[in-house]
Amino acid sequence: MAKKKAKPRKPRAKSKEKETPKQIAKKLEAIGHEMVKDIKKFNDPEFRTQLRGRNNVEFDEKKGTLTLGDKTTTRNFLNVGHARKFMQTTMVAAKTRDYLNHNKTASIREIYYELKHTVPNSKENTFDGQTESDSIIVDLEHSVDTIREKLNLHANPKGTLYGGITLKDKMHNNDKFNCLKLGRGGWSIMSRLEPEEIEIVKVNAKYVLVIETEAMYERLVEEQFARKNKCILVSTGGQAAR
Amino acid sequence: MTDGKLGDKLAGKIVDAEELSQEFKEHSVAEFFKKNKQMLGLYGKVRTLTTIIHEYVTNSLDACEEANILPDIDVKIDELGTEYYEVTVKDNGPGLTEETVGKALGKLLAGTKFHRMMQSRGQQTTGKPAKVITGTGNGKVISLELTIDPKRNEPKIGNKKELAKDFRGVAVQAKFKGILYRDSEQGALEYLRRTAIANPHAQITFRDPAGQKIKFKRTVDKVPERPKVVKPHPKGLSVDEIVTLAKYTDSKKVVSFLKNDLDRMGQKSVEAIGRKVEFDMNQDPRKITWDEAEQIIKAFKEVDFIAPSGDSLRPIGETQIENSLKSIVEPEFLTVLTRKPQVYAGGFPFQVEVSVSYGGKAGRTVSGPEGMEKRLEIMRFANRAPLLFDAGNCAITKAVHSIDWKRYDIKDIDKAPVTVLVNFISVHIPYTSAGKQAIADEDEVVEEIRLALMQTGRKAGRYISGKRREKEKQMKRELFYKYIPEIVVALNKLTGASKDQLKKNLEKMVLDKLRLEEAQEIEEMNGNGEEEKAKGEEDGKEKGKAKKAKGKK
Repeated sequence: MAKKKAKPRKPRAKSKEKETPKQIAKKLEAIGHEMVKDIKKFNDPEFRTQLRGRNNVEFDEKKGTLTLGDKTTTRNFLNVGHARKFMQTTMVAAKTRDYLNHNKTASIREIYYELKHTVPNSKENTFDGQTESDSIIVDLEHSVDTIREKLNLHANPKGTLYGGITLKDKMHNNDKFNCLKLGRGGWSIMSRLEPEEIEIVKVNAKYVLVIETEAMYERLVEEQFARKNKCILVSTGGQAAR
Repeated sequence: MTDGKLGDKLAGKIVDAEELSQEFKEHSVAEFFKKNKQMLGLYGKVRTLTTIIHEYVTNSLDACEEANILPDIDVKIDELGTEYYEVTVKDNGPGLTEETVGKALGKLLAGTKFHRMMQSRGQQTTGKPAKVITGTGNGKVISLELTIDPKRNEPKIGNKKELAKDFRGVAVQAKFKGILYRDSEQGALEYLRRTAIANPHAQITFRDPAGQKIKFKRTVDKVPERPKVVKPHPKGLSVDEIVTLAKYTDSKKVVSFLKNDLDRMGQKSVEAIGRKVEFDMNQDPRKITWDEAEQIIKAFKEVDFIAPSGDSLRPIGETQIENSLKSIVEPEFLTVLTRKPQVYAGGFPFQVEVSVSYGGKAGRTVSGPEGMEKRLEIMRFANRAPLLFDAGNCAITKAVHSIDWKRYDIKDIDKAPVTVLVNFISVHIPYTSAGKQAIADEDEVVEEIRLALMQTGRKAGRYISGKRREKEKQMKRELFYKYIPEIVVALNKLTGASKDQLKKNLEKMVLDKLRLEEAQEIEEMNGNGEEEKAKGEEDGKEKGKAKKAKGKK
């Protein structure tokens, strides 16, 4: 289940999986230091990230999935087309580092709201929509070679779960709860489902039924489908986000 | 009246009316119709009024010029009723005598369809006579009423009185029905504005029907010189023109015919031609055959001649155009060019003057969906007379539109704040029709106008691109500067680097980059001036030719 939302990507070395928030914060700082070094030498500062475009997509035959290739792209300050994104990158990097250093997490929506304001002496916003900040976050993920969740950022909870499974939220008082007994609303699926956060205590179901449409999910919950058929119902709330 | 001999005789002194009157050549109405057939045809009401003003004002300008007087012309239009106007034109010219007033103004009235036989279309006569007051400055002022006898097609003078006034000039007042005053591009005001631009020595005052007074000030205090009559230039002649000219020559030999009847034909040129033709150049020119004429034309093409004399041409002059445009159009930037005389088919010399005005009040102002907008304004002139109608068929319009203005940094010429002025000067203007509102698009004519526009366009382009670069530079600077504070704050948070130093360095980097870009752009522009080079070569050739010709002398 933890893999459900993860985008197919290259397997990471175990050591990276265990990187602490402080270590990742250092990586972000390193990006900043590179830029400052350039600026001190009057060189155009640069930010390098993975190229996310059609011409950097490869088909992984082993996995049978499409993955992003190795092509990278740079973003400079002294470029009319890049300047704005460059600014946004520094802003998101600085903000994310703050969260990491204080060991706090934030939703990507929160990051957007935190950073959105009018650029002084202009009629322009630092971010014109969450899509702008989201795309910067993905860039940073690649630059520090980690996943969003390691940056202490998570997507807004989306989707619900209902059925015979008992979970333990290790990040929140070690609460234990049976997802069949949370009322009609079920359990709101968290963005981070790593074993160190959520633990599966007990499963009392034969299968998992994933339903894309919210309406059908509600219908099945109301009809006691999970109880009668001994299964777990998951609604995705539409297309899964990354 | 365009005969140059009189102009020569004047040589600076003011001529009196009696002397001028001897020179009047009467044009028959039939001839007028032949020349102006279209003008009298399906006319808009606005156009008719403009034509009336044109006839009056041209008459006044010509009279003043011939008498070497700086013209002061007052035009007044009063609305008397629906499509019913009274037009008053007063000048300070030499005035008319009792004998010439009928001839001079009769033609005018006929031309402006005052006369009843021309009523079938357009405006109608009011049946009332035109009032004329004229004095020659000798203390005698006459007032009279003029009508045209429709049957005999002759002016009829009535109600003649002598006034005890001191006045030199002519004042004509006439009423017209079926015409319309509009403040449009084809209206009387625009006509006068352009007349004033092309005649900077004239002062024109206009009072429109609403009582509004507009004065176009004189910017040049010198009456232009009268043009001289010249012979056709060999380069512009066609075979049948040679045959025709030869038929009516007084010369006894082809050699002398060429020397006497053509311009720029010296002994050396004639000898050069003699070597190229395969017939006896001493034969009677009146017996010349088509084949022989063809040989002559072929020889003309192979021999170098001095460019046609500009004596017969009377350009407005670069300084004069500049002054009047500055005063009347008030552009931000303007460039003027008077080209050297050229020849078009027929051996007639012609000359082109162009000006490109940009910014400021240049261009036509029209109300568009987003308020007042600027449009391209093309001011066409033929021998200083504004051409307001039939723009689409005119060589000038075609030449303007044949140019890729983008090269001169004018993206959309039709929507640019640009006034293009073209004055076409020639003894014989190749009008497309008798309406005399459009110049025929003869190849040599269009090409010459094009070249002139390209030359001026380049100058205008340099100004415009300089301005654009400045603006772009400023916009870019603002774009980068805008993001600096945010970046500085973020990088300071991320790394602890000094905000002040980051800001200072980033700003300097932006300025350095913009400076470099500008230098590169200028270099690029100077580097790829292919057209410019080609132009220079051509000019060089022309100069070379002139030198060679001189050397032969």
